[in-house]
Order: sequence, then C-alpha cells, then structure tokens
Amino acid sequence: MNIKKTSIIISTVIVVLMVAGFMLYDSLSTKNIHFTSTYPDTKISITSRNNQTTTATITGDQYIKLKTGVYSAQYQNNELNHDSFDVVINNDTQDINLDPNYSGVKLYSILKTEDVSIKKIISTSYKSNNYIVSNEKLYHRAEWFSCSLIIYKINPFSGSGLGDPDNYDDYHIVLKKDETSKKWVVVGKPSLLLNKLNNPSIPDYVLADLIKSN
Amino acid sequence: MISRKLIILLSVLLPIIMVCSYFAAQFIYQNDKKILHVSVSQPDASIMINGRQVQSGDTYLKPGKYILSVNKSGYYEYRKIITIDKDNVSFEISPTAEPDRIVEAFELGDAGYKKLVTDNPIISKLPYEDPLFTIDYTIYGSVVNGYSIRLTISSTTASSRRMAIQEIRGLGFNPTDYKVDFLSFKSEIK
Repeated sequence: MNIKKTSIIISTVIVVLMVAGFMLYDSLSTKNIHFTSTYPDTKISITSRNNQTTTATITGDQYIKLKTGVYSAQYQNNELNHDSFDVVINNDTQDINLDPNYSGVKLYSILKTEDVSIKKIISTSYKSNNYIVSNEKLYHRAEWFSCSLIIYKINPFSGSGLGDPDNYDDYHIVLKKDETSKKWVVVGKPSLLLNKLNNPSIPDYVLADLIKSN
Repeated sequence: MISRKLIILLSVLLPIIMVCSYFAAQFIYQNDKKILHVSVSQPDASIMINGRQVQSGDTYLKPGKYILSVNKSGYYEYRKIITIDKDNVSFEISPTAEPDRIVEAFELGDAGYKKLVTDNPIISKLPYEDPLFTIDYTIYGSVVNGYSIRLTISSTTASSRRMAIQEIRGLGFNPTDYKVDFLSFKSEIK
C-alpha cells in the first residue's frame, strides 16, 4: 500500500515537472519583439509556418510576443501594399522596424494628382521641346518619383522621329517630395544611367526599376 | 683590494662622465642654434631638411636658409625655403592629397590589381565586344582615396547605348553599381 502510494506520488511529480518543463521552454523560446513603423497605426497580420496568426496595430512602440522562426506578414491597412513579406525572428532579434509602401492603386491615384506639378518642375528645370515624359512612377509612400525623358531629334518627314530607335535617347530622372516644403525637387538629374555612387540618397529599388524600363 | 676600490671608483665615475659628456655635447651642439619645430598631419610622412631626413618635432639648426620638404605617397610634395634667424621657428604642415585620376593597371602592382578585380568582378568579363558596342573599364582613383573603376561604353547609336546597359545586366551585374561613361556621346540635357 505504501509502495503504491509512493509510486503514484512520484509519477504525479514527474508529470508535473514535465509539464512545467514544457511551459518553461515555451516561455523562454517566446520573445517580446519591439515593433515600430514609419506609418501611423500600421495594421499587420503575422502568420507562423503552422498557420497561427497574430494581428496587431503598430502605433508608436508595440511589443508582440513571437517565437523564433520565420513568419509571413501582411499589412492590413487599405492604402498599404498587401504583398506578404517574411519576418525572421532569431535569437538576436529585438527590434523590427516596419516601413510599408502604399499600394499600387494608392500610388497611381496620387500620381494623377501630382502629375501636373511634377511635369512643371521637369519642364522648368530642363527646357526643350524635343522630349516626352514616359514610365512615370511613384514609390514607397509617394515621396519618390521617377520617369524617363525620351529626348528625340526632329525628323523633318515624320515629326518626332520616335519610330526610329536610333533617333532618341532614354534619360532617367528622379524627384523627391521635400518633407517640409511639400514641393518636388530633382535629386537624380537626367542621365542615361543613374548610379548608386553618384546618387546615394535615392533608394536602390528606384534606380533598379529605372533600368528595367530601358 | 686596490683593484676592487678602483672598480668601484670607475663604476661611479663612468656614469658621471657619460652624463657630463651628454650635456656637454648637447651644449656644444645646440650652442648658437635655434629650434625648428616641424609637425606634419600625416604621421608617417618623410621630413627632409636640405635633403637630410629628420624626425618630426624639434631640430636644432644654425641660423641660415634651409630647404624643408615633406613627402608622402599619395600627397603632393611640400617644399619650402625657410630662414632660421634669431628666433625659434615652427611649422605645422598638412600635405595636400593628390586628386583622383585615371591610372594604368600596372601602377597598382599585382596585389593592388588583384584587390581591384576582387572588389569589381565585372573586370573579368571586360572588355565585352558586341558588333554594335564595346563595354570596357578605366581605373580611377588615388593612393589616398583608393581605386575604383568606371565602365566605358563605346557605341555610336542610341539603341546600342540602351542595349549596352541591358548587356551589363545580362552579364550578371547591376548597371547602377557603376559610374558609366558613354564615349562619343554628348548629353542633350542642359
């Protein structure tokens, strides 16, 4: 009887210890990650590999408990780009800074309203009748703009001469909206190829996108 | 016993004689001389007075005219005729770095060229010759600023200029990583 009692107690203790061990491991492998975002009230859903989803709104500083691993994240705000992206939490991860882009629809609608003022800046900066503006694009949260200035030679027979591929050069130009004055400023002067070395302030994705349009 | 006394006496006297000699020599050497103090912003620069190398800091010189020169690889030579008169003279020299220029590969030496190729693997694919254009490179820089490359695109037509940019991508490199000179091309943008 005594032996039976003892064995029940021991097995109970072992089970309790095992559960406590698992709980301890679980709490130790969960990290309190400090999230910040450059966009106010960023709504984000973070989904783990086993489809457990955590949703949060990042307003100022926000802490989210996550285990180490790779998560798929997606912004939920209507005007932000909804493409999912990876969030990697490893042992060293403490802070995650989010910098969301506007959605293509939002950027396009802003481009329609900004188009006139941008073209005015370009036409006052570079006086020539022999160019057309093409491949206009806004990036990030509509503070970056790039386009091609197709500068052509006048063909006396066909007018613009754009039909002849050797009759025009494709210059790239980048403008940025000044944060304080809210005015567009040319930051990448028209060039056949804008490089990173001469234009360190221009994000790589803008420069890379320009050469795709060649 | 005598010899022991003598040894003790000598061991006391010798250091005294040495110290006295040092100060006597210093007095004789510095007598009628003035201090020329030279400090150079580049610590390992070579300082010469009338062609004789000296250390930075104080040098004792008799009154007269001297040629002070400072040399360091990658910097313009500093050369000045100085006059030592009644007073001590002090110079603080900041050599001017030579500007970046086009350099030939042999000027870098084997190790320098190897590093350049490691830093710019596109070199191994150049010159790239196409019937319509040629992509090549020039080495640019200085000892102080280091060396980098500029790509050169030789093409006579607008379409081949665009094709050359795309060919850099085709070779597996990002054209925006490089400064590119389009030879025989004049920008229409003022």
